[in-house]
Amino acid sequence: MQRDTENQKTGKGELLSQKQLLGMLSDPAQREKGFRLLTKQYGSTLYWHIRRIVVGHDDAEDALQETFVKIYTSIDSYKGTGQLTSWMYRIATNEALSILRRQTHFFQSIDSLGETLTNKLESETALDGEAAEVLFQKALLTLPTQQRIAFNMRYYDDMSYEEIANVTGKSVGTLKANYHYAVEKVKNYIKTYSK
Amino acid sequence: MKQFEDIKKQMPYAESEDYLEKLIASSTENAIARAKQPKAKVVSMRVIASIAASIAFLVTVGLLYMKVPERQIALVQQTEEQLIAADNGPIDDFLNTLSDDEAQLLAYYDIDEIPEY
Repeated sequence: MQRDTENQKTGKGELLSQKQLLGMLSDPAQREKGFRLLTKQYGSTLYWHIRRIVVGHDDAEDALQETFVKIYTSIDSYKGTGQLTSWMYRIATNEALSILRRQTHFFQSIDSLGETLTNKLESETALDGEAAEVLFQKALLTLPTQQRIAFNMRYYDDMSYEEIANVTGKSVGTLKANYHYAVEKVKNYIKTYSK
Repeated sequence: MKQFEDIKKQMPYAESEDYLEKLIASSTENAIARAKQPKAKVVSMRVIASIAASIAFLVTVGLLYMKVPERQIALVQQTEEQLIAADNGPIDDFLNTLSDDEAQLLAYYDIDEIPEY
């Protein structure tokens, strides 16, 4: 994934393979050490994945904390089928979605949180946000939540459709169609609202 | 104004590497500490839902049970009314011709009280 490449490029520590990490995590004597290495390696990626979903900084912190707890406490339930990163992404996505659900009222869909999230985006970017980037994010917030999440994983994290399918449980065909639909919608939004 | 292709992957908000490292480190240590804590007995939503469903079932069954005697009384009353309405045979016609005293005499009829002729 993109973050791995960034780490390698910047030389920020030595990356361990998923097999090595899993080996450490399954050994009680090395579990804590393995977990620290795991979060060091993927923490930033997971943080930005969550942040793009919940937008707010505080919400992202809370969701990241819960994600780490879930990963650490349920690593034994990871069956080893599929990528470890996909499994962690799934946990992070679910935690981010539960943060969003807490912001809804009875029977309100998280898809209706667009305005709330846009307000958060504006408050978070009041000082240093560039207009075009803010507009781009606003355009993304008009997408249905699941579609926005899939778009983010494809666009920002350079994940393959197969990897995204592992995280979201949707079919590759659906994801491809949704991605292209989202791109068109975002482009149209930018055309309409850019001055 | 930049177009879609020009925006690339920059976010309108940023967090410093230093800040993120500290956040990740503290979240990691918190997660380890929380995992070590004895698990508090958290009543899950599933358990709460099961209990609520059981209570609702028992209340429903209870209410239905309570209503059975009421239904039986209503049925008896209905049957009596139907019987009264249906009482229009020759005996009833005869009884209707009797005065109250005659009806009372007939009710307290005793073989020993038959007058001798």
